[in-house]
Order: sequence, then structure tokens, then C-alpha cells
Amino acid sequence: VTNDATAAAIPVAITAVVEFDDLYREHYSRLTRALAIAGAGDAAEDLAQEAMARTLASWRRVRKGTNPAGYVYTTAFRLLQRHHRRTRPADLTRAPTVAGPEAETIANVVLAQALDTMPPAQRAVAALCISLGWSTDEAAAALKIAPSTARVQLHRARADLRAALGAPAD
Amino acid sequence: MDDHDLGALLDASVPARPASDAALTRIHRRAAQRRRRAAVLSGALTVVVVVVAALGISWVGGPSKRVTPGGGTTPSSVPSGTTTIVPDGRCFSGDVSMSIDAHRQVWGTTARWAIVAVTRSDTPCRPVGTITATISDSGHGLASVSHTLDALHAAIVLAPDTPTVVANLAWNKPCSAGPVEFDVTGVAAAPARLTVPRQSCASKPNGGSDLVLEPRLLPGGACPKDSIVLTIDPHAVSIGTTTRWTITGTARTDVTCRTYGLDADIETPDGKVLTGIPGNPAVQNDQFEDLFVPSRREFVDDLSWSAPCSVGPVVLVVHYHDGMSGSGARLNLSKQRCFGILTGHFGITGRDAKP
Repeated sequence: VTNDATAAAIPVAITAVVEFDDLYREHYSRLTRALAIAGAGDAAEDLAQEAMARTLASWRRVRKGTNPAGYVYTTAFRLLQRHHRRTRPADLTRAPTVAGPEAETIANVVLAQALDTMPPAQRAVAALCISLGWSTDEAAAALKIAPSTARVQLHRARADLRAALGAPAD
Repeated sequence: MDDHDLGALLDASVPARPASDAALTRIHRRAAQRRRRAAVLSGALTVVVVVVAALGISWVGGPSKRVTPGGGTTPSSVPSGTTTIVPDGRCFSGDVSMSIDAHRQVWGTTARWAIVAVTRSDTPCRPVGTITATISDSGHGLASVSHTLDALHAAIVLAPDTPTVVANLAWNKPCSAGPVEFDVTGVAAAPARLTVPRQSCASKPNGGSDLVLEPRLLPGGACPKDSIVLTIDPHAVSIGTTTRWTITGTARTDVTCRTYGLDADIETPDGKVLTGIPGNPAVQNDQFEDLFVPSRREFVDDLSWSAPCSVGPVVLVVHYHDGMSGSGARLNLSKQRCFGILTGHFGITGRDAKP
């Protein structure tokens, strides 16, 4: 995964990361959640740790760049793409998205079901743009897809999620 | 419902793992494993590059007999004003520290001290630059030599935090009146210094004139001076009227290396070359074809003397050109009986297939 250039273009909300541990504490939890939304299932934590480890292994170089956090997220989502390519579709559908019992509200359940019906690329765009607030151009750069593709995916994801919640479409 | 509200609902719908110390420990462990793997891969890449070079395959195609130690790619240039390290690119001198190994290796009459470099960078890099070594005896400069680690020797790769020999300070017949100080500069920002005890003189002091800064011996490269011990097997084999003596050599190196340039002659016991024998002295025509695996006795060539005939005892002598690679070997022979044939021929003959 070579994502220095991509990371530089992604303005993830982070001020000044001085040391790797600061980056970890600020972003690890958000990253695992974003990966779970994107369909990582049980592998979310493993992928997040692998992305963090890769960042740490190159930390001297990465910290001198403009956006260490962007590097982590980009690495994680590209690892997720590879994970999806190597995982059979049947295995993907078995990974439930819903959290523990404390999170089992009706909205959560229908959103999780809506996510489970989305294709992986659409879920990844939803995670990056809706959950993390990235622009479609930034998401496209991270996922190595065309910006127009990212816009279409985001539109479909919004529509699916709103339909699941019973909210009117745009 | 805008994206912000939708995002909040999405975030609430899936679990987020806490940033625990245990997870951070696992991340640090994984990162360390990645660094180690990168170092191993870098080393393996170096070996592959050298093996390819040793097999005589040039980068642009076509066979090449002579081995060029350290055939690698030109290191990537680093633009000024940036500190980005290109993987396997040139080392930054500020990241490199250099030292001289106090352990002295002696092969033949040559003593060697290894010059070791280590980088603190995150990625493997190549030490490129000129190393200059100076020896001084009680404050008096004895000699100064330099050696350039250029793109040719860029097969030397420093893995992060891994001490690596980049060159050797070789002093033939070392001799000094007192302790000797070595100063080595280049590649690293700070010089390396080592004080060694007085070098006892087995022969006349040479004032450091025989000091050489050798490139690090790379697998497949030329065997360094004095590293090969040659022997002539006294058990000759006679086929027809021709007698053959086998020359073997043993490398005292740590890596496989190659030699060329063997000379052989027949001399009288007092060292006079018997030029009256056709073919004497003989010269080996091999070009870096003799491969020596460390510590293993290897076949070098045969000395072949057809219809050997002499008026008294003779000596078979073999040695490398100018003493390169190793000191010579001698074999004393009694008077060779002549059987009426006085047109014998002496030569160095290889075998069809060398190891």
C-alpha cells in the first residue's frame, strides 16, 4: 500500500500528531468503527491494528508527512479492499454488523441490515463520507476509485440508509 | 435527514473498539516484525543481486565472465531539503554511525579490521560515499588511504539498526613503535576511531605503506589478498608420459569468492626458473572461474608436465599474480628421470568441468 500522496490530500480532522501513541489513542476507536461500517465484520480490529502497525513501522517517514492520520485510514481501507477480494462473498454476508445488545435499537438494526445488503465499495464510501465526513474526492483517492464512482456510491448509500430508516430521499 | 445525522446513527449502529494498551502493544509487536521482515528481505535481495552478478548475467542481457562485486542498481538520488528516505536509497550520513571492530583478523601477513556502519533510519539504505582511513603512530601520521563506496558497491545495504561491515582496513605486515590510532571518516557524520596496541614487527617496519582500505568482501566477489591457501598435492598421477599434480585451494573467508591469475613454474631449489622447459613458466587463462566456498578445499587446476626430465631436484611453485588472493605453494621434487625424451612440456591444465 503506497498512500503517502493520497494521505497528503485527505484533511482528516487532526491537529498535531506528535507521537504515534497520540495518533493511536485519537484514531484507533474511530478507525475500527469505520471499518466495521465498511463491512470488515470481525476483522475490523485486526485490520485497524495492521494499518497502525504499518504506519508505525514507517513512522519516521510518515510523521514528517502532512497527514499521518490520513495515512492510517488510507492504509486500513486498502487493506479492507484486499480483505474483501480474498474473502468469499458467502463469508461476507455471515459477518453481522449489529453491535451488542445495548445498541439494539430499531434504528440500529435496520441500518445494520441496510449495510449488509450493500456491496463492499458502497459500504466503504458510506463509512468514509457519512461516518467520517470525508468528501467524495478524498474517499475516491483513498479507495483508488474514480470520484464520479464515489459520488454515485455515496448517493446510493444515502438512499439505501434513508429508505431503511423510513426517511424521505433527497 | 442530513449526512451528519445519518453518520451519528451509523456510528451508533456498529461497535467501536477501545484504544486499549493491549492493542497498542500488539501494534508495536507487529511493527517490529515488519521491520525485521523488511531487513531480511533486503538482505535476501542483496544476495540475489550478487548471485545474479556472480552468474555473469549483466543487467542489459548477455553473459559476462568477470564478476563485478556488488552489481546493484544506482541508488536513488535524494532531493535536497527533504528528509524522505527512499527504500534502499542512499543513507543519510546523519542517520549512520560508524565504528572499527577491535577484533583483528590475520590472513597470511595481512591484518584486517572491519569498518562497521549502522543506520538508525526506518528503511534499508545504501552507504554511498568515500571512506578515508588514517593511521597514526604516537601522533605521527603514518598513512592515509581512501576507498569510495559507489554505486558499484551499492549491493551493501544497511538494514535498520543492524551493524554491517562496509569495508576492511587491511594492513600488510603491520609494524609500529607503539600504539596505533585509526581514524575513519566518510559515510557517517561522525568519524570512527580505534586505538590498537603496538603492532609487533615480524619484518622491517613499513611505515604503514602497505595500508589498504578494501571494499567489503561480497559473495561472488574477488577473494581478498592472502585469503586463499594453495597446496600442491604431492601424489602425482601419471598418464602415459605425462605427470599431473593437482592444485587445491581453501578460502579463509566468510563468503564464497572467486580468483583468477594463477602462475606456476618449475624452479631449481635456489629459486632459478628453468626456462629451458617448454611452457615454463605457465600462466592460468581462467578469468574468475575458480569459485571458493569458505573453508572447503577446492580444485583449482592441474600442473601438467609431459616427459618430465631434470638434471637434479626441482621445485614446483604456484602463486597468484602479484600475490593477490593468496600466497603461493611449493612442492619439492626429486630429480626427474629422463627416458630419452627431452621435449617435455609444462603447463597449467584445467579440467573439462570445474566445480
